[in-house]
Amino acid sequence: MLLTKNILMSLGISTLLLAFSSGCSSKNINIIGKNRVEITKNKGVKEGNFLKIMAELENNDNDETEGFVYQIEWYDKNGFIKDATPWKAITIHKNQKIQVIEMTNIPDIVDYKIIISVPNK
Amino acid sequence: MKTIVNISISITLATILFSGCAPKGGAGMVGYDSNVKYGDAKAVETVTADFGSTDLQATAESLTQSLLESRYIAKAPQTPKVRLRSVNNLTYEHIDTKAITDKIRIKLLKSGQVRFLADTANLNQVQDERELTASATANKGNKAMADSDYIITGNVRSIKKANDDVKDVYYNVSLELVNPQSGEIVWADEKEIRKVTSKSSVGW
Repeated sequence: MLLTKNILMSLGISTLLLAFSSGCSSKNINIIGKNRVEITKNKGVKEGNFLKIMAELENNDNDETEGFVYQIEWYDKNGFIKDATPWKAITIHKNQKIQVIEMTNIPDIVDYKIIISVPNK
Repeated sequence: MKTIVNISISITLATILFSGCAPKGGAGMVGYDSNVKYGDAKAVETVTADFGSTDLQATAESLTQSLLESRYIAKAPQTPKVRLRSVNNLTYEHIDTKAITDKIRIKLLKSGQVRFLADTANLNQVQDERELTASATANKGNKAMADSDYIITGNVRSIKKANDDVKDVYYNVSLELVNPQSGEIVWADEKEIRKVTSKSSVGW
């Protein structure tokens, strides 16, 4: 019984550690590749008929400027993907934060996903 | 020992029989083993520093967002009628500026916030169709085609600089929304793009 409890506790802790270390805990964020950029904030608001999103990205590295690409996927109320932005290249200098703001041009969008692809160095 | 041999024979026979029935890979494709591959049409392309698909897509995306946020479109009491006019290419390279405006038009039409009138380039075909309709129905009361609420015009400019190590290209795509009756420019925005090619290293 005690053994089972210990195993379950270890599993729980491992899962939590994995979730924190991957940085992909939000359902709206998907990071592909090396996790060298942190998304410190992200939110979506309705502007008229259109969903507008803001994401704050941070490069915590003291030494290196990060270059990567990102894309936003737009979803309707049924969870179907309706549109996606083109991949956009972006650079964050070391120890800098930037805001990315995007708005869909399709009226019935209710949800989004930010996909970040960081190349290998 | 005998059992193991029997099992091995059975597995071999089964593999031969089933692999014979399995469809060959590449069904529905021609030349699937060639060097030609389909890629992500929305991927960032950095083959050269010339104006490319990524610049076209980013420009259309950015300027459409800005236009949809302008009060003349977002808060218009009636869906405005817009006509695309030419975007001048003031760079030294060939840029299909109509590709930029066509992409913006598609995005704006999907938004449902704007109605578009036929381009001036297509007006002859539209006029022919109207004349055909008018003569067939004897309806001479067709509404004028010139009653656009706004027109969209713009310019593409570039500045290029290079030394032995670095080549720097700056593109500026600017668009304007103009009220043709008053001549007033009611909205304008630009998309700036900088592309740097370094001869010493490969990368961003």
